[in-house]
Amino acid sequence: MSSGSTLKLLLLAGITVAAGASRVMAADDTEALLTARKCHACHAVSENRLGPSYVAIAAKHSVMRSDALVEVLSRKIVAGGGGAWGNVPMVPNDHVSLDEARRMTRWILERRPGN
Amino acid sequence: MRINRYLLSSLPATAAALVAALAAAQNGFAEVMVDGAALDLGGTPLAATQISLQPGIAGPSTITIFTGDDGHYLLPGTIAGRAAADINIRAVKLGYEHVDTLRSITDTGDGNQRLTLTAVMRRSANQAGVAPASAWLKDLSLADQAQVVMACVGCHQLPAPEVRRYANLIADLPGDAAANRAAAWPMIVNYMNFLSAEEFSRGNPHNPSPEPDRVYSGGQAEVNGALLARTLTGRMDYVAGYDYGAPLAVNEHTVIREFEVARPNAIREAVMMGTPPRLWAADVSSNRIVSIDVATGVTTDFEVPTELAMGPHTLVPGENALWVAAFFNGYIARLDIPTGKWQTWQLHTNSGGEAGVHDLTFGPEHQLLADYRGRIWYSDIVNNAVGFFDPASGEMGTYPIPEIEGRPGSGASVYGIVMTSDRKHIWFSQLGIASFGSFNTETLKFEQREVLDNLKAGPRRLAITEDDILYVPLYGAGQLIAYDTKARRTIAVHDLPDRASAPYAVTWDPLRKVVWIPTSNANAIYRFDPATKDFSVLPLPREGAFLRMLQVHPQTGLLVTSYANIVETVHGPRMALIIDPGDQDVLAGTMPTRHTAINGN
Ligand code: HEC
Repeated sequence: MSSGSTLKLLLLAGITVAAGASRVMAADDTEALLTARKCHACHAVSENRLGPSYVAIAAKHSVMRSDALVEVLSRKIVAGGGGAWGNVPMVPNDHVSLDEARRMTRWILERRPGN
Repeated sequence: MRINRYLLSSLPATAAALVAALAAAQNGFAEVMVDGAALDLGGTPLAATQISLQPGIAGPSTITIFTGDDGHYLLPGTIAGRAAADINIRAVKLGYEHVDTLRSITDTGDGNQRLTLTAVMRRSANQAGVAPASAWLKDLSLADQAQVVMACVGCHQLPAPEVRRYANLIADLPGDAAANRAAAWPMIVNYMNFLSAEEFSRGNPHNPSPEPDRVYSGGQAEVNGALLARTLTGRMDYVAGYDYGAPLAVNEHTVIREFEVARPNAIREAVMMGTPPRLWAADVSSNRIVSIDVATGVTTDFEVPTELAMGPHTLVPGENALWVAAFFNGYIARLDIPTGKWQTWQLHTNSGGEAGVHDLTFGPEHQLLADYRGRIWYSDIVNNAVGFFDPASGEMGTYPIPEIEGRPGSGASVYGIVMTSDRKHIWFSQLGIASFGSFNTETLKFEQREVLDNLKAGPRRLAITEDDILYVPLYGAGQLIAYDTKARRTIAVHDLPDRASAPYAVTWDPLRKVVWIPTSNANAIYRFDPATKDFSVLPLPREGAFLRMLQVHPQTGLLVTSYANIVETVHGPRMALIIDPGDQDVLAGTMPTRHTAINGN
């Protein structure tokens, strides 16, 4: 049996999920942090997945770039919320600290095309 | 009744008291005896109120007791090593809110103190935070309840507090509420599919981390998203009208001891074994068994000695040994309790494929039970088969379970497995296609097959009695089947007190002659008495009390279980539990002696 079908069977069985691999990462690798905190389940750099792409987020917020913006977005990452991109709220990510969220937000806002 | 006195004398209460006394002697705090009552705002005593307290010393992290008919409670043992002023209680009773605690501290004259904590309770129609997740599903049709439970609750409670928070985010959006729900919930199903896929790729060296786009479709996002959109409507911070559905199985002698395991972990089950008894908990997120000293609460890790055995998830006690099935790569491991030495077996199918070991055969005492030739049988969830291995010879083999006409050919999910008393028949369940049946270990042929009408019934982990009566919990349907394996006929199908409770397993209690039913979605354990056909409810002291398996400790009759929360982003307690149901009269002298009432009050 292939790994793929094994996976499917297990999924159908619905028996267990996401316990917490990948808790460790290099301190300054923000991209790895985004993966470790499971942002990549919904976001990618340039393609829209369940949430907007990082490039799109950076473009949307390119007009107003300030510490306040970083703060607002970081808090939204932790608390979840919707309304900015449509009618699908982002989940609360309270496994993420505010400091981590700030680091991720700065990194995301640098993804503007041409950056 | 065979009872080991040494074991009794080393039970948690006594041992914790000893440790406490030691701590007291060391740091000069008085020993504190804790008692009190639960009263409503009119001063009426409230029976069966949960009183939870964190002793903050060695032993369990939280102890929960219940008020008796007169509204009073008394903590067994004493607390030492802490100032009485720092000790607090949390009181919980369905339909009430704990609004205040009255405190009084008196010296008992012998250098110790008596701390009386009286919980003041206000009636409250809103049961949010007290009623279990299943309360939010109570008004759904039975079909919708079954679908929600089968689709979501296999991994976490629904609606868990995180799910309710998300529902609130949707409800707070401007615009058409129904359209918002219809857009948002399928996204969540996709997200959950991703998390599942990532988890299942974790232990598989052949399988790289999944590409999100590829796995979003895994769990029927449209169907289940639509189901959630019509189930989880509006803000979810209010729920009313839930009742347990049966009398409470608690009294003033009931004690629930919870042992927190340091995170990160995904404890899935726990059993109590050894002399003196310790808790052994399987951490599916790592490759270890966590052993907990019940007197001190100190944990020791026992690493399964192969990197390929990933995710221990099923524990079956054997003779002085703990048998462990790992989630990935077909491993079974045996930990010799007295020596701490491991043995492992890599199992494969007849065609050389990897086995997907789920459960191992056990008998009425929930102890490993091999067949008449010494072969241990297991359910192979990946290959829809039953398999065996002989620990003595290393011989192994698998037998694919025949398909059922009209039922899906994949996703059968063979799950629970038990051995009959002649050790020549095994009974297995198939969670995904609502079937259970038997296999003859002598003729090596499948024999009986029972197919339930409701495809979402969800027969999960089985139990068997000394008389070969099989009990089958229906996870989706919220029912219990009693089945006579000798006559090969269903004796009865009983509705559980809460049909959305998601009974994960059943455990036969050979001491009490009752069935215990740990639930995933109702923060409760049900007790079923086959003699009277009555159910009663043992409510657990916290949200997220997602249960999987339950052991009746053979030497003491204590119940042992664990919270089995695994989804990292859906938080939940990580604890192993020892429960004294407080029925010493039933066990007549086999249970530990307790503190008798203290004078005056
Ligand atoms: C379950 C899917 C999901 C996950 C997981 C997720 N997001 Fe989001 N995210 C979304 C959605 C949906 C939106 C759009 C929300 C809106 O419309 O306001 C969004 C929006 C955002 C935004 C833009 C907010 C705005 O107002 O413009 C940022 C920044 C962001 N996410 C960062 C993250 C980070 C960092 C993580 C990981 C910690 C993460 N997201 C995890 C789904 C997700």
